[in-house]
Amino acid sequence: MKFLKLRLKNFKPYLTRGEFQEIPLFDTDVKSSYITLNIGQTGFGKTSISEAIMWCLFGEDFVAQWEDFVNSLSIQIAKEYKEETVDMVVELLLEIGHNSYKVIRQGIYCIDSKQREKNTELYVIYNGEPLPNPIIFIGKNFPVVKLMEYFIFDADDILKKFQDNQKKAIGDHINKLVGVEKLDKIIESLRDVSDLLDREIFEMQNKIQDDLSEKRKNVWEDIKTKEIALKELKEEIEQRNKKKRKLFEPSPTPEEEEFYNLIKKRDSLTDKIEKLNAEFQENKITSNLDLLLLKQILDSTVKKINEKKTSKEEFEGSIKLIQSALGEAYSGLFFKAEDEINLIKKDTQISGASLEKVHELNLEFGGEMKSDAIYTFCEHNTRMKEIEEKFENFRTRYKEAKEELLKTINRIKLKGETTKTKELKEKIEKFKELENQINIRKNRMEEIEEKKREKKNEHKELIEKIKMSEEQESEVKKLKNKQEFVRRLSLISDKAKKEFLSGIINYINTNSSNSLRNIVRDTKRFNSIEIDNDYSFKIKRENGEELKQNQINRGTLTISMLSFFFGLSQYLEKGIPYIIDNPLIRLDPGHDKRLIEELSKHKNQIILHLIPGKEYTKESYNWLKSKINMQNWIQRYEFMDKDLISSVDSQDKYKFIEFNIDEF
Amino acid sequence: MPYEIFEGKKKVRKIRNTKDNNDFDIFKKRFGFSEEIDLASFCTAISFFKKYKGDHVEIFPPPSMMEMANMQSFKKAKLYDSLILHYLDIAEDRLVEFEKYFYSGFKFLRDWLERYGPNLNLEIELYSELWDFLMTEKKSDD
Repeated sequence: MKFLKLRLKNFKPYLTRGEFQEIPLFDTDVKSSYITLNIGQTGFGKTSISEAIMWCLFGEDFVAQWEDFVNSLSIQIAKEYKEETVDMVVELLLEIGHNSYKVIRQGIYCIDSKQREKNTELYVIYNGEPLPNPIIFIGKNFPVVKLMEYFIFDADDILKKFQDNQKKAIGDHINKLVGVEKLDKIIESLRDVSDLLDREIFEMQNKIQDDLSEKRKNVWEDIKTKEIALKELKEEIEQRNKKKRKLFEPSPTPEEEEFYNLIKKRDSLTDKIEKLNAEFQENKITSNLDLLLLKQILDSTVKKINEKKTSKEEFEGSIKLIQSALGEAYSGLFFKAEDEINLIKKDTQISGASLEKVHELNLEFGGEMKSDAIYTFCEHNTRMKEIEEKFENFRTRYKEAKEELLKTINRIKLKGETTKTKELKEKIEKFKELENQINIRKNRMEEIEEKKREKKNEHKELIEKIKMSEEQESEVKKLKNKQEFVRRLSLISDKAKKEFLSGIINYINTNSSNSLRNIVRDTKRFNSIEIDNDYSFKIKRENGEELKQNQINRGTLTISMLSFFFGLSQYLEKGIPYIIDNPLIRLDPGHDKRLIEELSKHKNQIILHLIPGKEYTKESYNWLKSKINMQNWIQRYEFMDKDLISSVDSQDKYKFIEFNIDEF
Repeated sequence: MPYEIFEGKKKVRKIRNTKDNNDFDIFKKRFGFSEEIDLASFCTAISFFKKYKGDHVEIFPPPSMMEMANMQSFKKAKLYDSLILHYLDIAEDRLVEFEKYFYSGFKFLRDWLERYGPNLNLEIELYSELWDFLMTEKKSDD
């Protein structure tokens, strides 16, 4: 997708009488680059270009009070000419695939009432004809307005959002923009269908009359009662959660906000640990944790040998242990090359030089055995190593989250005890009471769930005893087949989602790390960007160590964030253009040049708004000209209002002109 | 004579006693094992590890046993058989020896859960705490 041209009428500084003001955004004749630069001083109307595009696409959804966008001078002029309304119009010419569309948004402002005449009108023109449903066109081609802030933004603002709520920003990007969220909804719907079929099967089986039908019916009723109770409890919890939020929602004091933020942090950490546990369960490594204990024995043996602390007895014990782990079929270890170790099968004939190596490794106390040979065995036992790494990874993540959680809980407790504000004290008391009520209900839910499971098992056993007619059996079989199909579909979708997500994350990590390295060129300190499965964002050194927040300046963080954005954007089919305000202002010398070079490799259109003198100089032009598609100079002409009103037909207050390097 | 796992025994057994058996089921659920034999191996490995560390481990046969799984479903049978044969140097009744170590590990797990387990709800919590305990626990005579 490309934004080709923007046409404006009375939108913010873009005052016109009659003709629109035009800003070209893309030159289709230039194929080598997709970068457009808009250069202009602060307050000259660069950000208004971004806002105009957003308003054109989303109207009231972007800004409810769009009356504030109407050029104030245009209102004065209209009054002078005894006009009742002012037209504010933005036209965006865009290209999707090989088709051109014109999106038009029009708002009419009433001078007397100082309000809109009506809500904005949206038109999309294709091949000279308006499309019947322009809103569908926008919905199909652009994400929702909130997500557009990841495409059209001010570098500083988005960096702040990114720092404040990193996981949400990354989660939004990955889940919503690439459509993983839709996959989630599909999985949820499939589960609902499966439950529905489950119910249908049960209902059908329950209708069958035999000696056990009464008992079956009672058990089934019991299950249903429990389900109703669970639903009620869930609603009660939700109501109390809402009350909890409401306690602190209307304009909280900074102290209240701090307390509530701590609560939110606690809840998000609890949630994180629960998700981590679910991931741990899914990985099914527990059935192999015994191997890790055995590996501990082997590792410890090697350590003792290395430190020469072992007695002959212990040594022999260790050798036996190693032999037992190697298995009967093998008689020793054999270095094939420096870093490659082979197990020697019993009765293998080894000749010449290799035989010497085998003698070096003979498993005799006081002999020439190299302890690292045993260690290499452990290292080479990929199964043990893989399990160990996974387990350690889980343990580290769990411990970090748990430590943070305990700290947060203590801070919450302390805040509750030390606050001197009466209102906050009361709110905390109410909050605690609500949390107690929620916990009581959660415990109750667990109890009911457990009983429901028991009843379901009982029902299952009773069902197995039913003697059905052929017709009934075939009916149940049909339903069960359907259910099996849905279950498989759900499993496939779930698997696809996981593979899809891990594929995207790998893709982003690789691409954004490459970009970071190309721009910053300090690979020892800033070597890679890593997004975890829980969407945490890490910048790592060459040695794999994670950099802390205070070790990264804002410029490098901006580069990392942009690297992430562009890493992902290559994944998105639609290729929505990016419009970024002041991306270079925080960057270290040299990084600006390399950022533009890196951006010029992307196939997405990128429109950058730069401040002359700070982000763009005469010297910039020399190296920039080959990297860009086109550049615009946003100029402003100052007039005294009284002069302008009498001569307004021939003059514009603000004017955009084509860029001319000599004038600059 | 061809090498035979656990001297050609066909079944692996578990403890018959009702209380032990109930506890075994509870542990299986709490630790998230899908197969009973996996929990039995885990208990056995705990005993091996504790013995290696020099902790006091009382190894004695369980009171009475009943069938748990057949040998084909015990995927690590060869490993444990080999460990008992070579590491423990026991050639005869190796499956009985396995049961002893399993029972001892099981008893350790029960004591540990009674003492440290009541507030540990999630699997990852349980394993993480148990691991720390096993790795850092001092010998009783230290």
